[in-house]
Amino acid sequence: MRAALRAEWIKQRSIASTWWALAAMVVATVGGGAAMAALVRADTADDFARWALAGAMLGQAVAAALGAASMGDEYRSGLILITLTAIPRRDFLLAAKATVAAGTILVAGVFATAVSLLAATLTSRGAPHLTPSTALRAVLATTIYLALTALLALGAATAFRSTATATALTLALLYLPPLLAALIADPAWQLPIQHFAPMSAGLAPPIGPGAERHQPASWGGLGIVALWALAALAAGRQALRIHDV
Amino acid sequence: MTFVRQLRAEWTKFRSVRAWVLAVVGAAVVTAALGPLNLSTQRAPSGGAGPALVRGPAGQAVNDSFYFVHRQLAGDGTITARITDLTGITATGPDRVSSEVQGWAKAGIIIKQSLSPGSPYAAIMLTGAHGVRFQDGYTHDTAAGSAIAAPWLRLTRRADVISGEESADGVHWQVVGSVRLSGLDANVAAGLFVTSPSTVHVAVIDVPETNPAAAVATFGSVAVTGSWTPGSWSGGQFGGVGTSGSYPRGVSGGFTGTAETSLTLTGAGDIAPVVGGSVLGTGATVEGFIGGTFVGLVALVVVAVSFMTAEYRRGLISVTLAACPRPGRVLAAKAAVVAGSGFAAGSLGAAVAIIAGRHVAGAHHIYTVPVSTPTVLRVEVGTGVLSAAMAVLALAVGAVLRSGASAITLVMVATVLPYLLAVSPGLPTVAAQWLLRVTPAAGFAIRQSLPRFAQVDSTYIPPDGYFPLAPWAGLAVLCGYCVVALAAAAFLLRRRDV
Repeated sequence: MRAALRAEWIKQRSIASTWWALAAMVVATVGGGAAMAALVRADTADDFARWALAGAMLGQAVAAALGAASMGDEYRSGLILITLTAIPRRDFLLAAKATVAAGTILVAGVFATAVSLLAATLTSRGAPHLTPSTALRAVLATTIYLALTALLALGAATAFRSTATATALTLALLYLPPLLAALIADPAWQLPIQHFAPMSAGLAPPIGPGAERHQPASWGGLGIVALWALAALAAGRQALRIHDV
Repeated sequence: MTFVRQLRAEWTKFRSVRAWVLAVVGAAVVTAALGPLNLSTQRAPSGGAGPALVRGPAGQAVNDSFYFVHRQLAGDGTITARITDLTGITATGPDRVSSEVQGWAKAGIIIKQSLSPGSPYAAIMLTGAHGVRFQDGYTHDTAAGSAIAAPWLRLTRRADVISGEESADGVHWQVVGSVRLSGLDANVAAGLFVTSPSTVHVAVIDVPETNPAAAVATFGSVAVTGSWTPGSWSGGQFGGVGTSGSYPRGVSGGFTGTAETSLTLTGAGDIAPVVGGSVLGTGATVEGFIGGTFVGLVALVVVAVSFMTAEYRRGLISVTLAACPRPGRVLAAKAAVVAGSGFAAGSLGAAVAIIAGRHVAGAHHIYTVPVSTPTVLRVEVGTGVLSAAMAVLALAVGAVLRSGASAITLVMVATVLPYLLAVSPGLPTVAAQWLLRVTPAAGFAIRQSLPRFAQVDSTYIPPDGYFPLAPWAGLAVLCGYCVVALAAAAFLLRRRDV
């Protein structure tokens, strides 16, 4: 397992596009958050943290693409044959990929969200009263959310054996439910969508009724995103077992 | 290879991949089905079918609600009156009112074809904040050139033509506007009216708030010429209060005084087209019917990106460019194929969605905001063009980046995300409107079916379905991005070896 982890880490860090994507994720998260904080008057600390980290709505797309690419690109280039020869235990391979992808995103995510909060304090129009505990919770929860997004995409890429399909599906799953929820006038249908769709559960975007009651990235919501990621990884594991390559 | 042959070649490539064809068909089906399905989960509003919307002469939804003091006029004639006072009664909280008058509160003289709501009319009026206006046909609004306090107003019927004049002294008259109402009956209802829409606030966090409001106007020196039905003036609230009016608690429509001395009328409602936003309440709209477009677009984007990147994935691009050594022509043929597929999926899907949506709304007793046929056609064709443009954009970005995942990510983040942010309540309106002006998401403006009128106050903001750009202008912004991306793709295709 350790060998698998090392192998995956070497693969990951030796691809130039990994670093470009991580940089894009940081820039998107920080830039989006700073812009939002400059536009929105936030009166409460929770509110401020939510807008300051709104860049994660942008950053999650990069995290998803990165997660999907870590498995999908193996199929694209045919590298998967060599990888499976070197690591014949497929569960190990999936676990190693998940660990490396999640770890990379976690490190970059802590940096991105922390810098986001700092940048937002500078650009904010209001007078944010950001307590250390709110800040810490927001940074941790958003970072974990980004990592879970990457895992969700990784699972989808393993299941569909294609980076493009997996990225598209993951982004659709993230972005579309809030839009569709906004079309439904009936709160009896709107609320379940907001509860169980990954983005509104984990990131609490300000959409629809009751959005103002959401805390930024609540732990319960993260649990729901984790379930999505687990389901995707389980589907991926199943696909890895069924298909020869 | 000629362009036509290249087009045939690309079309064969496209249709022979089953997943792509299925995805395009799926996009059309999702576009057609999702909105109506959404609607079928909605319960009918308590209290029946919702407000019965009045339709104006052009078939659009209108409000035709005011307090009316009238008599019958046979043939030609005039009414003259001076408005000496126009104030308001506006609720500012439970059991609290102020004398604030709404900007589009109206008091004046009106001639109506009949006493049925939605019938043709012409009126000259003093408004709360916009001076003297001449209005007809619910949507036409003409401002008087001058600003007179306590003006004299006169409305004249001569055969089919009704003209409105204003005067500062009752001696020197200025024409404000006139209109020919063809087919006007000999007998018309004519008289004085007062009406006022409810308040519209756009709060900081964009939670629209509306409060009941009425207007109170005093008319002096009422005089008529012509053949009027003998008897006194009779008054009553005409056409309910409509979608945008309501009386503050404890206030009701009515009039006091006599025509010989002075008349004071209290009224609420509006004579104006129905618009969206906070004044509309819950009703089904055409853009709600085609909500599935977003899901369909994701499928089209994936297909268009894959159509390009698949060439790079298996090295097919070398063969393609060997067969047709002009990269620009290859790109144009590919763009034509995805644009055609996108247009077909989008426009067909939207057309079916609108028909099915109306059907479902009717079956569930949800009222649908009526829109004119040209608007429906524009939305249907526009959704096709929108889908085609998104597919071309995705294709071009795919050619530039040569990686499916990056291209899909970029296109989704550039189109769907700005729209999602713009319609989130909470984002300041100015920011939301800029997002829908400068990003490719501006193209979604083609979906807007709700009209906007300067003479009706409402929350014309993105979360309520109002775009900052006109429908085709918004689509032009998206097409601009397409052109830039295509140019970049053509340039890179020519410069790169493969």
